[in-house]
Amino acid sequence: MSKQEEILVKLRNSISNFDRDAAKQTGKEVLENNVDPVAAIRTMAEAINELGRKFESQEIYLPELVMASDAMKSVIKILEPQMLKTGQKMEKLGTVVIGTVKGDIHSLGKDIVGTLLMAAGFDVKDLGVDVSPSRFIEEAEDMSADIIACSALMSTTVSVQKDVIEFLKAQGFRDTYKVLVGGGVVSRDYAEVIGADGYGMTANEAIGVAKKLLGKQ
Amino acid sequence: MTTSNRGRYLDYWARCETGPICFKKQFDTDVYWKNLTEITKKYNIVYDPNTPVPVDDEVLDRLWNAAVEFVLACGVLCVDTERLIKFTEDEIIEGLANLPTEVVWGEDKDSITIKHRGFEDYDSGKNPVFTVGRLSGPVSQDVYDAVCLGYAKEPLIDIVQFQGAVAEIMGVPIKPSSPFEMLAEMQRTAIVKDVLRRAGRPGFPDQGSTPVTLRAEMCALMAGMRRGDARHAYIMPHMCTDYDQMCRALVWHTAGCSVWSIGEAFIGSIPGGPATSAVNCLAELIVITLLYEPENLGVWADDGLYFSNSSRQALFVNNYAAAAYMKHTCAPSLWGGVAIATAKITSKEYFWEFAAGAISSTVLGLGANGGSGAQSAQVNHVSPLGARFAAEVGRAVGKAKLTRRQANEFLNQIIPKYQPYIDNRTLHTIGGGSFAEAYDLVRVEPKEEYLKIYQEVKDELKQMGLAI
Repeated sequence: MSKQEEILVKLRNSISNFDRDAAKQTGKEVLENNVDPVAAIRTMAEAINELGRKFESQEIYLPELVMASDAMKSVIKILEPQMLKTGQKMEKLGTVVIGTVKGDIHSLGKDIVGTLLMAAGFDVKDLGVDVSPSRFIEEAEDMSADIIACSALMSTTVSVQKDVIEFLKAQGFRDTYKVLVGGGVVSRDYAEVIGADGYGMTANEAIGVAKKLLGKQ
Repeated sequence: MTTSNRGRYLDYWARCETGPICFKKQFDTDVYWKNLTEITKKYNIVYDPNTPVPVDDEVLDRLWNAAVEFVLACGVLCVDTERLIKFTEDEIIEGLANLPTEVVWGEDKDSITIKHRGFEDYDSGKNPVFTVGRLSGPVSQDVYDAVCLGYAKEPLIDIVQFQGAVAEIMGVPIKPSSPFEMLAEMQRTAIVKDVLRRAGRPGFPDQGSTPVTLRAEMCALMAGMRRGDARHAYIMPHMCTDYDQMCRALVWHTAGCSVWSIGEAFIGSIPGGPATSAVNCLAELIVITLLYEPENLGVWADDGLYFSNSSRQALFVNNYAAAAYMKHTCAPSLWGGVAIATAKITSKEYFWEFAAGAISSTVLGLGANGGSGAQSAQVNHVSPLGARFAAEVGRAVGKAKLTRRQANEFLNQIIPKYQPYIDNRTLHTIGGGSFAEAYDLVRVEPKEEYLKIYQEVKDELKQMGLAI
């Protein structure tokens, strides 16, 4: 095994073991040994994808997936300056802003979907909970996002998902972003009624829908 | 009610301003998850899928020790101030030792006194200890009164979570923090109180926590809420709190009403698998007791990736956490088992889910639940008959004086009737119509065809050997 291959294996293992310190250290070795940063990122993405599968089958759990995603992000931070210098670009499926809508503080479903989106290769900005329709749109503009993902758990907060779509229409941005909705009382029928572009009953379904919306599946 | 630690929660709440700083992400991974996994391993807590009802008291002792150590190591994160509320071992031990040994829900002749009950103890009062009628999720205006009356008319129900949420008031969507949310809560309380009067049970306890905001919840006080009623204060997933939850406990205790709460675990997500989830759920019961001292406490474990409260894993977590809490405190009975069904109300699976919950609860000396179906997510999937059924199953368990081993034998026949549909995530689609199709809305009685489904499950339970 070449030195470069050795480093990539080490990098993969650090992500698979949710070890941010080891990942950062190996990220530095990637640069020192002139390993292709794109190959390094691809290796980490494969490891994260595998963890996503393990999460679905309950072999690993959300905190571990979060730690692995954080480890990957910390390596990307190390590799980015070099990639900028050489004009290399990261492969990503798209950019998503995700949040739980205004009035709703339930974060778990949103956290799972956000983490799995990240694991699948999306660039994700998590806006947290109690997010107003205007903020979803402002953040989507700032990030040049492809998808706005709105979570709502309660029957009294699902109507805010409709507001997001109406606000987008009012600002002339409806065709700029795909709107993905989900959450406890949200149904496929409701998503259609409010004119959302996609709906996920489960976190995994949401990831598939997001890929499909951007023609990546 | 004899003793109480409520005055002490002021000291604990003050730690939100003085405790160690801890950021949320750091808490979730470095504090919460690290301690939870290490301590679960240290005490050798393992998931036993074939024994959903705990039979080995030594396992419960280990689970208890693990949960106490976890509370000490982890503390509770106040997300508003990003500081940890830490407890000492003495505070935990003395606080739990000084708990009231009985609580009263409701008022006057409609009140019920809840006491501590041991495992397989069928001679210290009725069985199950109590039955909660679950009425949660979206309910449409046209059937709202009938739904509430249906629950109020059921003689076997002791308390109802009148928590049906309408989507609009006067044609306006009910959004949190709006005046419409306040109006909706006043309307809900007025309907519930009127229905209870008509049913001859004016003092019957309502634990409906429908609004999102506390200020809307407080509007119930202007619309007939009584001191015998209860409202919630939560620990958020997982081992987190905020000032809003403390305000809720403060308001309802100060108003002389009751507080209800739940030890939770969203299995497969933040708290990990069933073993770590059981430690988490029990730890939450302990910190809830210290922080809010609820008069009405239960367990609420769900599958985190497919919202199901009745799966084999969820039953394991609920039953072990509740049993360990009951074994190590003198607290009044918790409610356990299955709080909401995943299947639609007009399915046999819906009744099987509550059968599993009621058997578990009754044999462990806990309260049973029944009522809400379809994950509390589909409109009008609420059924008083489900609550009646759970109470009847509990009565049959009491008459048969089931042992915990026998309860496991029943559960291992019942769970396979619906678990495959949890595994393939279709249980929420099973069943037909909702309340309007299941009930005669004029007489507010279940229709013949609906009673047939209920009777079929009872007949099958009889064939299994439970004389219901």
